Amino acid sequence: MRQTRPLPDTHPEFSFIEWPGFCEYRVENWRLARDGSGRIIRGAVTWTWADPIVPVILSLLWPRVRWGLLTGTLAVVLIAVFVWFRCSQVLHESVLLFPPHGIQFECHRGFPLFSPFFVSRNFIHMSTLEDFVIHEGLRRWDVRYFLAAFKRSVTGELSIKNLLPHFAVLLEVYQGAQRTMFRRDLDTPEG
Amino acid sequence: MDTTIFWPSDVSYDGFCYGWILPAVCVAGVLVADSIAQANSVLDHVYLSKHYLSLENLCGRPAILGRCTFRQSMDVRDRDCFPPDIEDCGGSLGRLPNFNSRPYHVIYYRRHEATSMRFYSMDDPWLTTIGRRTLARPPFHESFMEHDFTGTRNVPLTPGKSITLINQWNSAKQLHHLVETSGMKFHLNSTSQSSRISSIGSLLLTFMQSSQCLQRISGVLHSIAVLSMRLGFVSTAVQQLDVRTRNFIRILAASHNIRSQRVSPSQYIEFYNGVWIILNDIIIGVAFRRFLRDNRVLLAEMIVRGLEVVTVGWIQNTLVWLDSWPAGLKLNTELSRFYAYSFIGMMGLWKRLFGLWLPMIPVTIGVVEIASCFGVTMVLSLLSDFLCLLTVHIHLCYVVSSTIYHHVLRLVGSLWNLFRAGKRYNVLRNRTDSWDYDVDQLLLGTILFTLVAHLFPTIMVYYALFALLRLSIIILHASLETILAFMNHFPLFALMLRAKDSQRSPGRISMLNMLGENTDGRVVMVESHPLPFSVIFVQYVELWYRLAEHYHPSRLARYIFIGQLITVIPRDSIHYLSNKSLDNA
Repeated sequence: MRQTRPLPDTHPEFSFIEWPGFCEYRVENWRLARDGSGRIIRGAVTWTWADPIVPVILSLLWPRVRWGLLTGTLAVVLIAVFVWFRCSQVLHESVLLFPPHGIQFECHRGFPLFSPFFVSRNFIHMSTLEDFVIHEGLRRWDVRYFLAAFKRSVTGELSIKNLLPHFAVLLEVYQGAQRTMFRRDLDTPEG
Repeated sequence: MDTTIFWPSDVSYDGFCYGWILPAVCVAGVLVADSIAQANSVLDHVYLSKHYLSLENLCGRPAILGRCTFRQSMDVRDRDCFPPDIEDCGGSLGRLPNFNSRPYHVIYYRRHEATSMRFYSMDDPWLTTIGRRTLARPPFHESFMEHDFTGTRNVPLTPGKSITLINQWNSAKQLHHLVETSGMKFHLNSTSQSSRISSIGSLLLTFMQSSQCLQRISGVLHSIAVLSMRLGFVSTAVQQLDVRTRNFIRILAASHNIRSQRVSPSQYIEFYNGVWIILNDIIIGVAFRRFLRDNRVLLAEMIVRGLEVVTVGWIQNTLVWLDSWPAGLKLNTELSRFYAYSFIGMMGLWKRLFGLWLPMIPVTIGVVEIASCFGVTMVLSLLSDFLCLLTVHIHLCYVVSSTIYHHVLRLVGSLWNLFRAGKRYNVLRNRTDSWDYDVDQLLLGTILFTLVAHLFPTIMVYYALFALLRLSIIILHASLETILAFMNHFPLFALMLRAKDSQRSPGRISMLNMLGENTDGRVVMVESHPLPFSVIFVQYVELWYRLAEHYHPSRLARYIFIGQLITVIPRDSIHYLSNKSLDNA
């Protein structure tokens, strides 16, 4: 296994991992601050200022609220939703290339201190893969680039759709996929 | 490029590995033999086996791929984590990959027993016809891809190659059995194992496959289907009979392939789903029949009292109330009296007809009891028909009042254009144009407008009454139709299969990249994912869209406002939803 960071200065969260027989382009859920200070801004956090507020609110409400079935159920549901959101943070997303069989998109979710609790994998066989492109679309008020795999007979699948890294990262993944899966060298004039 | 070898995860002993080399190297098993010649002779014996031909059609011709050895110092338990050492030993086909010189890596897969009903599948074959249509690429995407000169134009592998690889994984265990038992003994094992699949199902299939019985039943069912299809517009019950008959015909047609296990996964699940739906329908119907028998008298009394009060008495009282300046609203006395007495007369006529039917209520309940033996769906369809029959008078009143309202509304609109600014509606150009009216035309139009404007509230009030009644009946119809459609097409077997053993209802595969327990490297395993619920219920999504489109509140409100007749959803659009996919399979 060999891990490198193709863009160490601008996007150190992006790494390329070579395994025997396949390779992985991984984007972790953190980034450098845009102001050039080098400060790390984490997307998946362990504790925030809001976490202690929940038990404080609970302790304040406990003696004041007449706990019944409805209120108890509501409280349990709210706590469960809170725990769910904290334990389903995106840790990292990956594009795995299995030449010549296909590509796989993965999204690892969980709590940052532990191994991922949930992993979603989407394997696209080469027989159904028509093309792998960089596309752009509207997200809220922004225009964002994203990677998309076009499948035959259906619309397509999005890759790294939660983190939506910047174009430089997408370009590396795109070029790697074109080289590895489609045997297309984009650095040459013919490519 | 490294060679990928698909290796069965349960094989970790030395010997000659055999399998397929196209579309990818897939090892089906390991044969313990002294020499390559002996291994080839075993395979030659397998080629002569009776069950081999179908396997070759699905997967291709297997061959000896090489000799594999696991490290001697390794514990048996650790062998699964380390790939074997494969050396080329000169196979007979001459097209084998040279493992000695080219590096290779291993991807593991699980060999499933044929009798376990577990298998791998890609997503495309699972989608029903409706699912494919729902998820199909929009036309502009097709033209976009066609004209995109920057596209990679991936030379497609024929779809069959991916399916061939899947078939190889699914058939590896079967080939292993053929090799191990060398044909004859496997045949006995397969027949004894297949009889254990489902004792009830086997008995049923055996009965159905009695050729004479099958032909007679099929003939009768075809006749019923043709007749009920022609009369389907008359009654929901007849259409339900058509739906059930078609289900039976499909089940009978598929029974032969099911018995011989030569079916696709979708055919297998659709067959058993159809059987389960029918059996559950009949079970619930029989239980409902018992309920009817135990409460026959009480139900008859409730029907007599309730129906007469609700469908006749209450409406008559309401009409009388409307005729008596309801809530202080002063309607036109003469017109209101005409409306009220006309409709009350219609109610009275209906009440007399209803009285003629009252003595036959026990017979009607008996008919429903008999129908419940054919399933609760038949009961629901009969209820839908009874609802239509028992509300005929309301429907007639609604048609009359809505027709009058619609025409008066158009008249008001037309006269409003005249009264307002001397305009008129141009039918040829479909727009409102200015027009020079004569004085007498303007005078007459103004008089008519005043007349209609004063009569319109009275017309609207009586129309609103019957429109609300019609809407209530439509909601009841919609509920019954929805329940009926859900019960006819519920994917019960698919859900139970997914809950019991998700590997038996695979939707897609993925590559599981996990850390080996005793190795620093990674072990890649082919993992099967169950069918997602969105695919299982894709027909319900389509059904929901059709129901929502027809019964959308804004659509109904618009129809009520403009006086257009509100109808129930055409039965063809919901009853034959999934049947089309089965017909195309």
